[in-house]
Amino acid sequence: MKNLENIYCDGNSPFHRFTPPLKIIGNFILVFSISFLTNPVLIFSIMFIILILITLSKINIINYFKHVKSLLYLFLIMSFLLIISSGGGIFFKIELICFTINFYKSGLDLSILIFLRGLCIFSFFYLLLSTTKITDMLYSMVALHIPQNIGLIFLFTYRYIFRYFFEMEKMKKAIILKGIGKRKGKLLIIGELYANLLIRSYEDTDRIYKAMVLKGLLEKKVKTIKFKISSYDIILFCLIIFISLFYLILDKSGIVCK
Amino acid sequence: MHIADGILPVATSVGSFVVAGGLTAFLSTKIEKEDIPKISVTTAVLFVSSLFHIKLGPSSVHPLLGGISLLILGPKVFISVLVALFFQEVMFSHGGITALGVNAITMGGSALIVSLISIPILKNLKKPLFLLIYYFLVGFFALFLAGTLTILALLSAGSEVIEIGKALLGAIVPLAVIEGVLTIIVVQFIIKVKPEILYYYKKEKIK
Repeated sequence: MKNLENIYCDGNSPFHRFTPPLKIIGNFILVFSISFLTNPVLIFSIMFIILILITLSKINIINYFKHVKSLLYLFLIMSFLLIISSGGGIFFKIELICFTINFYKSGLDLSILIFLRGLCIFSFFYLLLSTTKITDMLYSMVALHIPQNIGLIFLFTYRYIFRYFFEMEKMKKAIILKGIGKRKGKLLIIGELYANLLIRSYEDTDRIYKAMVLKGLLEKKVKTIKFKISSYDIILFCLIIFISLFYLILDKSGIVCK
Repeated sequence: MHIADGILPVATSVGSFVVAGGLTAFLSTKIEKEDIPKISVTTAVLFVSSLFHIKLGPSSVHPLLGGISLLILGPKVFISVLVALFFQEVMFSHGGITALGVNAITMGGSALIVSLISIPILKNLKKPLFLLIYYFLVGFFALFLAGTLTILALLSAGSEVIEIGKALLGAIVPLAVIEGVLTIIVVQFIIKVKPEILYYYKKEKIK
């Protein structure tokens, strides 16, 4: 079972000081431009930039690699399936008694490209999440004019995730202590656990609604945090756009060999 | 069934964001202020439930609970799934941010489609056996359709990923069966204890 950990690291690096709304938009621009890149060498070079940024932001690099490890398993399985099934030129063969497994070069190229892209995109978002508090991210989304109802749903959901996680942990322990696991089937216990949690959560809704009324969250325009945009933020944002365009042009021009 | 970053072409990612964004904007106009706490807590429970795994052979899976969520929230289940997917990506790197639109459409969209088809049917069902079959099918199809849409999304990445799609197809059916059974167990429990949670519940009708 995963622990609910916040990957945010407190600090005063350039990325920490970057205003959240522009940081989120900049991240999306960078990430979508990486999705367009077809040259693995260019994508690999971006990884160096990311590692430098992670080091400058004083983020725990061991934690970063732990998260990368969890991605690796999925990519390894997907890459294996791609390499043996994509078709085209064969670079390696394993001959078994009844059949042959062919390893295709086009599958290998595609899996390397997908892996590098996925790793870059994941790393940029890891950098974003490590240098921005989740509450700031959610308020940024409201500042970026996502519908107010949706913004409130995001905020309330985040608020109650931790509460229900600990509630679920307590209920699981209670089941073990009462020996219910030995008397009922596993699926039945899991189903009844979920049902219990849903019922308990529903009982909170009335209280939450009254709290919303008292805190003025039912007004037409809810007051949230106002993010100041300084010249520093604009310079960083322009730099991100420049880097995205630079890599795109470099990729399309074919100057860098694959 | 979460698609990770880097797999899908840009056109699919951007297109799915536009569709998911449009659907979210439309559904947000249908949300009343009283619905916000219910959607938020159901989403939080959906998220927390995905942290607990069920052993399936050599591996383990986490339930989608799409069927149960749609029986509680109705068509607004799409928003709940989108928010839960966002937090899964942000907190656990499960799925991808560039694939968030696609994941929302495959999982949330499938729950939305099943809710639009199944909830009107419920009015005509009275026999307990038919109701049990109904709940099973809601849970089954919420996951099965999600898996099918995921495979279609993966096909947009090219014919090379077709084997991944085939592997996924083989895994969907047992998962959908577990989902169907879970839906029956959860809904039966809710009906006994607090039936007013359910979207279609009417006070004069106790099933």
